[in-house]
Amino acid sequence: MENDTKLIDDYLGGMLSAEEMAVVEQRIMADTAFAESVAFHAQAKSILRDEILLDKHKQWTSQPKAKVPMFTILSAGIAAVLLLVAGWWFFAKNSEPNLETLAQNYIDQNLSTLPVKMDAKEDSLELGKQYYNEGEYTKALEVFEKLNDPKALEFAGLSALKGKKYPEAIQFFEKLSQNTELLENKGKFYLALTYLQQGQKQKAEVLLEEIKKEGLFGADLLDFEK
Amino acid sequence: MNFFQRKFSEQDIVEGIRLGGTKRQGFENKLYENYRYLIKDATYKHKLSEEDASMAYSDTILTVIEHIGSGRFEQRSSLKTYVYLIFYNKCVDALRKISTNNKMSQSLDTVLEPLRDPQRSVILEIIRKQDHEKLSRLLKTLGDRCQELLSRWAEGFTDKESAIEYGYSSAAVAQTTRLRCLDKLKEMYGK
Repeated sequence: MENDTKLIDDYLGGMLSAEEMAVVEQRIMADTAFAESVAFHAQAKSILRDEILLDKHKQWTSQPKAKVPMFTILSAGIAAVLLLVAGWWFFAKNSEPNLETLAQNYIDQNLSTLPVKMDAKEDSLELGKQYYNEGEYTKALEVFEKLNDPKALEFAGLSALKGKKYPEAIQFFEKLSQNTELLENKGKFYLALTYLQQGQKQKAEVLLEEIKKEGLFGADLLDFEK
Repeated sequence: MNFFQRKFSEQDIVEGIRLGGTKRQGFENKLYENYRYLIKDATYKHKLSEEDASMAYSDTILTVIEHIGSGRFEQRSSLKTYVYLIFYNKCVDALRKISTNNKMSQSLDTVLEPLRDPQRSVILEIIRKQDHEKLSRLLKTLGDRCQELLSRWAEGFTDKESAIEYGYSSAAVAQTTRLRCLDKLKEMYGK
């Protein structure tokens, strides 16, 4: 049954070669039990996707719409906007933000919330995420610390970072970065962010160069010259 | 120096969704917002109600996210054209469902997309006879990890992304775990 389940999974996922597809198609027409298994697999996925679609639809439609300003308001504001843009361009050109500010901006924009499953039950990881998203970093840290899981280790480090407990955050991220079994390891990148928060720019720059060179998580965000 | 700074072009949205992680949801929202005006277009062009057009658009965006994640969107056309073509088909599907009073699952067309017509007809006939309510109920009785793995699969996350999320050593391990959940569900359904 396991082999058939994988075959069906790959078939519905569009992962089979033309020859393999032909074999599965023949079996659907000739083998009722196999066809029923395909139908079951498809039906289960479809039910779950419907639930996700409803959740997403609710979430997306509650997003505020981007308003299109009236033409008259636009014309009246054009001169002022041009002046502002010119002023901003001049300012930006002459005051490039430093690494520490950019790291702070990254943390503010990308690490303020952790993704929570809409229908997730309250297991410990989800509870920790809830504390984190409410800004209760000490409580979140207490929850994540107790879990033996690479994701929990990452979140424990983020909780310490957001709670400004930098030495603790460094310990968590160093431990995370040493885990060689993960497909994607964010340890070094977050460690660099922590060093920048601590004002240890040189240590951060060494790590960021390593990340860029080795193509680790965060490499796509790095385009800097010393 | 340009560090940690990104403008959100079509390419950024595609890469943001492909990279996954904590930022994925933000990029999904940007994708939805980018072409939201198509909903109003569909109410004129296809004479769909605002509600039906809006649901067809959400379904389109979810499909596009799945295609970006799985690599099926190969960027041979612009993202805008790709979204428009899928939305057009979803609107036609919605009209057909309304005219035939078809009450089957909204997602079934998407799930059965890789099937050719003869196989599709056979599978649809079997699905019509399956106990939809029982299967829905049983899905909710599975363990938390099973429910999460299956939900992520239905949402279009790859097994590699699930492996990263849950710390499995490879995509194959994540797939095997997920398929065991499906086998368990099937066993429960057969009792």
